[in-house]
Amino acid sequence: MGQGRVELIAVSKAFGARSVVKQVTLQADPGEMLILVGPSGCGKSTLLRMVAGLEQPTNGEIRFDGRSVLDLPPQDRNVAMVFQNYALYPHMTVRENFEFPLRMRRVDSRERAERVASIAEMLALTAVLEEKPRALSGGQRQRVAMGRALVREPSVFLMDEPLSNLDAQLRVALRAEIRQIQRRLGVTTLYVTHDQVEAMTLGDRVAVLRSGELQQVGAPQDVYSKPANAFVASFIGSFGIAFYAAEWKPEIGALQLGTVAAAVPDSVRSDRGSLVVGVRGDALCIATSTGPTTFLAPIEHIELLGSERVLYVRLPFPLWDAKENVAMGSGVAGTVGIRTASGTTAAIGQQLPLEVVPDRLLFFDHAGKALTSG
Amino acid sequence: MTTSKTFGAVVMLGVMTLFYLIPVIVMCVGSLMPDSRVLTDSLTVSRWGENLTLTNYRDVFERVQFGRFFLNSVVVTGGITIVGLFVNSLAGYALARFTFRGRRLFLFFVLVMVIVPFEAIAVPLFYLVSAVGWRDSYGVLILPFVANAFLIFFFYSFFLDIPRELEEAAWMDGASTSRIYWSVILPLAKPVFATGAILSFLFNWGAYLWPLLVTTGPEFRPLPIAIATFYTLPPLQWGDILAFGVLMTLPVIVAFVLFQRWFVESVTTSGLKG
Repeated sequence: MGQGRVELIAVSKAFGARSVVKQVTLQADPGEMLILVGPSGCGKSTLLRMVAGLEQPTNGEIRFDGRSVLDLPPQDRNVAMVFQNYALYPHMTVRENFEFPLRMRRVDSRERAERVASIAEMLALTAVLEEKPRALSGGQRQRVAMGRALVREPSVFLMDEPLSNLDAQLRVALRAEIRQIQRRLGVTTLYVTHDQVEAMTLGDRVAVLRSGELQQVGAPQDVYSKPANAFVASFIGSFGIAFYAAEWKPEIGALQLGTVAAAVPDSVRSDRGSLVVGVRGDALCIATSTGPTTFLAPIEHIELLGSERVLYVRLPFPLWDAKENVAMGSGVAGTVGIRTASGTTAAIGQQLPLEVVPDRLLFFDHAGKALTSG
Repeated sequence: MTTSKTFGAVVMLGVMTLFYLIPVIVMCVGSLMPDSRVLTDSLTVSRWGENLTLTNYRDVFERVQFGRFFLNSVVVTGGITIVGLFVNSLAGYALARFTFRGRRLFLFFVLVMVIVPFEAIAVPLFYLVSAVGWRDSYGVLILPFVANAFLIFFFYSFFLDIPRELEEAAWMDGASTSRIYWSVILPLAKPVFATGAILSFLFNWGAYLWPLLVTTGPEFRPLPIAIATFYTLPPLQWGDILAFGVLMTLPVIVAFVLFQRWFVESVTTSGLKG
């Protein structure tokens, strides 16, 4: 069995005239959990299906452990896949579902029994081995799908939105379980999702895709704090982001953001003049005293999340005309969510005194590309 | 409002049911009456019970080789059904799943052939088989009906509804195309096969025109032709004809009851879209 290094080199896929994946180059290291994330229709599932061998790329190269697999049919690539709708064989029991890939590979009956027993044990499915999928709950079905994929010990494990059919609570529980199992088995995993929270919490690294193009690859924290462009900045992160047009004023040595002058890192200082500032809630703090750097912003919406309260404020700065450079964020459009302790008193319409935290600001040019984030 | 609607529906359905059932009841009752009474009494409910007899049934077996005709019908209809299910399901599967040159054209012709009645092509087909001297055999009775456009389309639309991921999963698990068909598709398609079997059986059990054209003697002729000979074989005895009718209908009812569970299931769950 191989190590499970997966390389995609300039992979493109077109269905007729429609280009779905464009020149994607990406690598997953052995044992790594790489998340492909992006809005629906961004080509992430197609990418996964090409790795699986269910689709052939129009151009480019796919290698496992340095060897091209383009000529290999899916069953010879030693990859296993969990489908969004699980694709369990409905007429077979859980045991038979687990046994099917082993039978196809002519694993002898003794070993088959052992492997099925151990996978059922690991996924807490021993009690339902003789049940058919229809008798199982959504979470159990999902685990059966995982078990069927893992039982033949693939070197690459592919998951296509495996949690999207489950309710929120179960999703969180299974997310943790998937991560644990993946770590324990150390199998290289490509995981497709449109849910950025899932991507952030599950992945060793995250690859953000948009319209078939790779936007950025990196550790979740890096993708969050150093987004490559305005799209990534708006897609990743839970409480909204707003983009404002700002002006670099050499004469005062600061960035003019509406009425506020903000000190900015050296790397952004330039003679370019006009630029775009991305502001997330964590780049704002509630001001305790008023001064030249503070400003008032009205609260438009409040979300109570139990332990904390998110105040969505509209900042009094000129909005950047983003065109199609950003994703539809969460929260009310054009507002930024500030997380506060749940005890905070706040009311809709209240003017909140705020201050910007300069080193948390994100800077972009007017095309949406990130300016060297230090 | 609702109850009066329900009541109206019950009455209407009741009338329709009676309308369809009466001929069948009359057939059963008449088959048990002496010939002299059939035409006069079989529609009079009050006289249904009077001296019933099984002589008509005895006559049927004496006047024609019923067993032979029955066997012919079973062989021909069974052959068409079994071979047909195999061929038509594979054709439907190929149309639903494979991409090949001419697929759309083929599908188009299948749809066209659903509309063309057999009677329209019976004579040309007859010329064709006579040109090669192919008459009086089970083969010539079975082969033209094996490929059936309706059944191809029927299977095609069912296979379209099976999630493709199921086959992709099996593919990745290491199953070959034929293995996927046998191990994954067929078990799921059981109800559809049962429905297809019943429909095929019904289509062909009553076939008359084609057997009449291509057979000359009792050796290969099926039941519908045999019953027709009763109309031309003097003396014209209605009791015998009705008894023959009962004997001919029974297998269909038995077949339906055998497959009914699946049949109903598939009509309600798999969605007979056509």
